[in-house]
Amino acid sequence: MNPLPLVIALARRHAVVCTAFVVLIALTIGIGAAITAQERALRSGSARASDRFDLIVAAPGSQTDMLLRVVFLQPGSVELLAGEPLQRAMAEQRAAFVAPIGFGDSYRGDPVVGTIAALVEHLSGGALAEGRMFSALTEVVVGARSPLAIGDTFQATHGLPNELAETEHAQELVVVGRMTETGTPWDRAVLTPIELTWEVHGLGSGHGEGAYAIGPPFDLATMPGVPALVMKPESLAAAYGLRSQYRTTETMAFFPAEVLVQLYALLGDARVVMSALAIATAVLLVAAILAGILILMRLYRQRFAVLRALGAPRIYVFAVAWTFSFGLIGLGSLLGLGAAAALSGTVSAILSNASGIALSARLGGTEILLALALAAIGAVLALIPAALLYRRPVVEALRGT
Amino acid sequence: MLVAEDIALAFADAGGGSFTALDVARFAPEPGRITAISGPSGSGKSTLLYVLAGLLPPQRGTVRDDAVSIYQLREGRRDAWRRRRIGFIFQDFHLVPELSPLANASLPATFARAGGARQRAAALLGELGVPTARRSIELLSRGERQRVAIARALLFDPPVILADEPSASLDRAAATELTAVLRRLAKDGRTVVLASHDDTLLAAADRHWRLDHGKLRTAA
Ligand SMILES: Nc1ncnc2c1ncn2[C@@H]1O[C@H](COP(=O)(O)OP(=O)(O)O)[C@@H](O)[C@H]1O
Ligand SMILES: [Mg+2]
Repeated sequence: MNPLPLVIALARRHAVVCTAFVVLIALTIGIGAAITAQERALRSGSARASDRFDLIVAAPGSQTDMLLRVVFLQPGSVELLAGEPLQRAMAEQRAAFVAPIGFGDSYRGDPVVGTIAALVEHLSGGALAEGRMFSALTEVVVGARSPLAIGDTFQATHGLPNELAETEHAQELVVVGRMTETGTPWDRAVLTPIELTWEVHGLGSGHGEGAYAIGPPFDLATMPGVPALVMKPESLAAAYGLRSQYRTTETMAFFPAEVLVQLYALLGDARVVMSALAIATAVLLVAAILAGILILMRLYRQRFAVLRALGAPRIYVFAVAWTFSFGLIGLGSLLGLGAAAALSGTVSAILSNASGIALSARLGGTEILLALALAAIGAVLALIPAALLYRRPVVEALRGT
Repeated sequence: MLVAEDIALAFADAGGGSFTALDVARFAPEPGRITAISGPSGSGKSTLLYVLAGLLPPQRGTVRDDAVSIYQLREGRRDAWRRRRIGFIFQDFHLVPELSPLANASLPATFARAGGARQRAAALLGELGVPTARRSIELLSRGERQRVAIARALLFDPPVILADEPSASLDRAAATELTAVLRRLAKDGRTVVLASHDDTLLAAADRHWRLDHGKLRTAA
């Protein structure tokens, strides 16, 4: 038994309608799958982005806000960590380094961040991609995707991107190095010695009256306050120890990953709803398309009756109708995965550009499951037109009534 | 041999009652002969052919093919029986317009196991003088289309041919050719049953019955 010749004949007869059906299903699956894949990519991308910011210590406040400031370099105001708590943290012995972070300036919309060489090296995976580390106040290292090249000179602007009152600073800065890709907004940033941040804002040198140097040790007694510190604990045990040690009334300390996990948990329900909606939309579409198929099948009642008069068994008519319906749905689902793959790449690229977080959405089990679920539902729903034809009395259809 | 005996079949009418569409004591078309049934429209010709083809169980009576009482077969068996024993030809051909003449003629092979069906279909089309080179049946004349339908009916070499007004949508010349084809089929030993009111066809029949309100009479 081979229903294909007739199925193909039917599809050719209604090539436009059938193509429209397949495209609609493919797009529905494609968009649904692309969205779920994107959501997953966003989670893994943001988790990867926060990986190298081992422990963040700051003045008490919102951990989420602080995470957005430090890891994702989002603008906003934060309390400064200053005075005795800052001195204590800066002197921490169980950390490989304690890096102060300073914000406030920008260059052509990209953030200028003040910090120390150890953090820049650490974020860059141990070594720079090009050039060398900054070693003077006006030397900077740029992120992997910064438009600046080694040797370029420029002036930073006071004020973060999007802030209104921007004024240029007088210092001319020169690019001496470029980091490797981190997959974070730091890839677009300009990294300067923290001393420059303090200097241009008139906060002192950080190394005592009249003393100039780049990087630690700082003069803790006169060191200005900073929005946050990134600590690299010496061991896993030290990490947990430090976290609890700096969870006091004067400081907060957290692992970026734990904050992200909380955020994901919040989004968890939304994710389930999203997948459910994607399936529901697809099923509704398939139901609508089956209604169309039912109408087509009514047109062909007589054709099918003729087959019976030629000796075709009922099951053959059933098989033709089912294969036709399921063929459209199955083909649509399959092409939908292809559409999803294409869409994911494009959407990822757009989102990566907008957020600075490296995203690579890949189709995974969820998306394949979505397509399979729809195909399975389609296989069941396709039984309806098939069963209706199966039950039709032959002679009446043969007479064309 | 196909024999219908003591057949009664009534349909419900619009008024909620029923009317007798068929009341036939015995109908036994002979192999090697053309048996024609004429009668006005609505007299029951198609209904009789459907009953003979095992498509429409009568309310009373039996249809026997040799020893087999066909309405006693389960449906699937009856489908298989029809496939092997009956070739059905329609007034409007009922071909699949999207398929080539050859694909149309070999269509029954898509629902029954049949080796060499394509070659046989090609040979039949050749014998019937249908140009198989044409890709679409829409490029064939009406007479040629009917011959494609005949080739399709003959694919499994059935001993019985049932033709329901096969010349009604053909012109004179094509009807004459069709008559010759039917004659040839009868000469090969097939039982040919013909429902028609076309004089060209009726003139070629060996036996001629008239149906009137479901009752069979010998024609003058
Ligand atoms: N399913 C049905 N229900 C009621 N009446 C029917 C049905 N099928 C056929 N008839 C009636 O049975 C009679 C015989 O029909 P038919 O065999 O098609 O006649 P013919 O082929 O001689 O023109 C007609 O009056 C037709 O209207
Ligand atoms: Mg009729």
